Amino acid sequence: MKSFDPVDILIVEDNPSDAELTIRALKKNNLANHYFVAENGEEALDFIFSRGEFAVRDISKDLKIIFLDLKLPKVSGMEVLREIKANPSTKTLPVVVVTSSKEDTDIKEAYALGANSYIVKPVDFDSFIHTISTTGLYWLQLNVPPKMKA
Amino acid sequence: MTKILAIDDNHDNLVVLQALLKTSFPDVQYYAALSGREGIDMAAGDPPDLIFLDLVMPGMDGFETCRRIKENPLLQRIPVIILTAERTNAPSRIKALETGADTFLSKPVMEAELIAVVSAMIRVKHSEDMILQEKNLLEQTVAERTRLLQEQLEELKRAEQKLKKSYSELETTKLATLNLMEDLRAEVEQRKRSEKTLQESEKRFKDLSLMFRSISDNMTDMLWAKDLDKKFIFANKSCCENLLIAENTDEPVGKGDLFFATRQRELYPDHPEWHTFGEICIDSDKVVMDSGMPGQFDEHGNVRGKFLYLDVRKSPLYDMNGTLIGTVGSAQDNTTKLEIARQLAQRERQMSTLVSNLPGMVYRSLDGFDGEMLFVSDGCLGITGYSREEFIDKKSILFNDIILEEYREPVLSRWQKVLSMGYMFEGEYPIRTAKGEIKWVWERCRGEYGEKGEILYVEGYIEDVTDRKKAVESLRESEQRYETFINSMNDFAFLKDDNFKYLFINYANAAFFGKKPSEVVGLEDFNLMELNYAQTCRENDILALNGTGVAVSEEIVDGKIYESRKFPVKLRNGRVGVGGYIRDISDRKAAEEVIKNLNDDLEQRVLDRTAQLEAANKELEAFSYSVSHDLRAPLRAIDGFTRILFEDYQPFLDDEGKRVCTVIQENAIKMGQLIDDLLSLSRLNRADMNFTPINIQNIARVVFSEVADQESKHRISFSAANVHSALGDPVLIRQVLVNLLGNAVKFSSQTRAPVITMTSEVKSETVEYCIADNGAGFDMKYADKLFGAFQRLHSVKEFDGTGIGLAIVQRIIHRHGGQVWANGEVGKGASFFFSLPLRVGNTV
Repeated sequence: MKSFDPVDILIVEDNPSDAELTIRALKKNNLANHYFVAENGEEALDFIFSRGEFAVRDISKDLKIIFLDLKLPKVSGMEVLREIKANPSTKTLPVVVVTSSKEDTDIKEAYALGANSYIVKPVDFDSFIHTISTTGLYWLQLNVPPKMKA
Repeated sequence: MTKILAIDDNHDNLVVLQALLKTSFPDVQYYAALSGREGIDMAAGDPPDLIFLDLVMPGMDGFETCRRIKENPLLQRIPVIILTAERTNAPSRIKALETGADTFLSKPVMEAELIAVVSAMIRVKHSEDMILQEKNLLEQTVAERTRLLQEQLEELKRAEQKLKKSYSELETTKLATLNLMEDLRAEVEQRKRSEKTLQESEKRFKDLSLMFRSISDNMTDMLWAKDLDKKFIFANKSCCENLLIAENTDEPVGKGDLFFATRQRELYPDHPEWHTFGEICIDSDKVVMDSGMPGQFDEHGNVRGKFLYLDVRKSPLYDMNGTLIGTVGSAQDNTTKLEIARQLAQRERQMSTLVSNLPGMVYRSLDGFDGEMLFVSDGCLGITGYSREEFIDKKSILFNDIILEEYREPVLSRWQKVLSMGYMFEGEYPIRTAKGEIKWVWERCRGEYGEKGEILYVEGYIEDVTDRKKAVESLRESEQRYETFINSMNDFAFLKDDNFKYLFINYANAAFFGKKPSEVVGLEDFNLMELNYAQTCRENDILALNGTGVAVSEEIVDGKIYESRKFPVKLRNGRVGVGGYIRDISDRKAAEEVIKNLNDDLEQRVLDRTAQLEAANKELEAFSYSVSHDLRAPLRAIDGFTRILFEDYQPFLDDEGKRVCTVIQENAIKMGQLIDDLLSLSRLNRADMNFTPINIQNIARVVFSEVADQESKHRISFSAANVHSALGDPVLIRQVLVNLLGNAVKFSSQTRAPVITMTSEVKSETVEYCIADNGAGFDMKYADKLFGAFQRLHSVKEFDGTGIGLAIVQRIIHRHGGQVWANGEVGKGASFFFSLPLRVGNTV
């Protein structure tokens, strides 16, 4: 059993480099105070639904945003997205799909499942930092989420 | 309703009897009495149709009861059946019958017997009832009739009385009248005698007149008499009907010829030739009266629109004193005679025309043994080349002499033989004409015989049949040719009659049956083949016979497959037979089977290959997906961490360190670009094609303005005019133009006065497009490398690029079913061509 500080950003990313770059981008804009990195889909789901080793996490402490990679070990990003959007208590959580895939089929499927944004990771660092920052700013500071009851 | 009374002292017997009777005679009314006396009373009160009677009863026994019933006039006709279990011996039975019983039944009695007896008795009773009824009715009728007759007799007697009285009164009156009548009769008698003499003479005259009228009316000739004013005194029926058109034989009296002529003409005023007789009759009357002599006149004209020719005789008419009082005349209708003569002449003319126009010659010769002609028609010249004069007048040539020598004797002997037997001669033989030609003629003639049957003259007809003969011969030849032809075939051919018997069969077909053609003719398949094969052939024959076209079927005989084509054939006798053409197609079938197996095999291989390809495609897709995702992540890390290094550790890096960081980043980005291009090339293979007409000229102009930056647009002279439209996928074709125009712009960037032109040309099945520039160009020895992926002919320093653009162009054009190629020269420019099909078809 672990105990956690309240988390408002969940980064689901199996590639530690990409995770680090994402966190760096968020930090540059002072957005990354309370984040958690899940390295695979199963861990992400356990975290979101306070299961397994995250059972003590206070589910009532709202996540503000989830950055979700699609290509993940164990449970795929699409499956994670499907479960979040299928559950009434989590379906209003903003989910930003962040992936290298430019495939049309992926984009369509993600939106069909209820993704709030779909962002293609640029190779270029500047563009990447810019993209993550802009998205983070939008969802964490501009967007007004609905009030959720536990 | 039939009623039956049973009399028995035993109640049980009564019940049993009733039960028996009710079953067989449900409609019978049944009642019973327990003693003889009660029975007689009951019968008297309501007479039954039949009585059953027991013999042994207390008080009055059955014999006594029966006797009393039979003595009673009201009951004696009712049949009585004695039914008893005791006293059944013969004396009792005789006694019972003597007392009047109708029949005697001993118990136990068979039900069937009982029923039969009852039925018979009832039937007898009913018949008797009916006879009695009829007798009563008859008696009543007789009494009634007797009464009526007596009444009539009375009346007659009264009438007689009255008549007798009137008669005596009449008798008195009569005597007085009789005397008066006797006087009158004597006077009338006298008058009658004188009248009779007169009447007799008158009657004789009338009889004579009538006789004359009858005779004259019976004649077909016309008879008449006229007075001095030429008015008719008399006209017979023929004259009235055929000349005057009078209503009857009395009408003409007192009227003249003109009266009738005028009446006829007025009926048909529009027909001037309707009736032209009248005036001529008057004219001849005048001639006779003036001369006082008989005369003969040919008078003709129209009566009722029809020509009438009369032979007329007229004489003056004198009375007993020799005074001329008129004329008499008669006329014979010679119209028919005249007509017959005319027709005969015409027929003769026609005959002669006919004879002289016949293609052959008609002749009449003496007994003919030497061929001396009495008559020949004009046709002889055409046939023999000799004129009729030479045959008849000059007798310079005898017909027999022109018959070819080798035929002459046989022909003439047959000729004589046939004719002398009284038959008609008919035959063909060759003759030699005046010009020396040989001609075949056909002759038919018959003799004219004398009283002793000797030939007097010969009449006949001879016709040139050389052409016909030739035609028949050539037909025979051609038939033989065809037969030879058909007989030389390996295939079977035959002709069967309407009873499926062979009329013709070729050698091959006959050989199949192990026979010669002549042995097969007249046989049918059932004589030649096993039953089941023959049956199949027959069914196909019938099918063809009833059809209109060719019936094709396959017949399998002894393991070989034959294709039979059968069809109806009109035979010479007007019936329809079957023609057939049969070919052994076993080899063909086997070959077809092999081909079919090959095809099946090929199809299976195509299916397998398709499945393999699909699997490979899937794999490739998965690969692309990984590439797109996984290959980019490390690049991002390389770029990102180099940047972090650059940013966070700047103080520790000298200029070279910073430059190295930049090189790392540039290459990472470059590789990202390569990955993107590779992916789009692989996506091309999967994208669905959406064919629509595309205005390529417009797209080219738009694309140019997109791929060229402001400066290039100023520098480059671009033209795309009269570029044809084409069918294709708009997105993909646009990509082609982007790549080709992009290249053109790019490779013109170092040219002084760049010119880019796009043109097109329509070929037979394609449109060819050309994008030409005067830029850097390329060496033609590398032309085959242009369209390979990642092939570059220039260094990155000279011209930027990944080397994938033309590979994409080629891929897209190939998928459209088109071709792509290029011409170029280093420093002079390059021309890129691509073709698109005019119709959608072989696309990949």
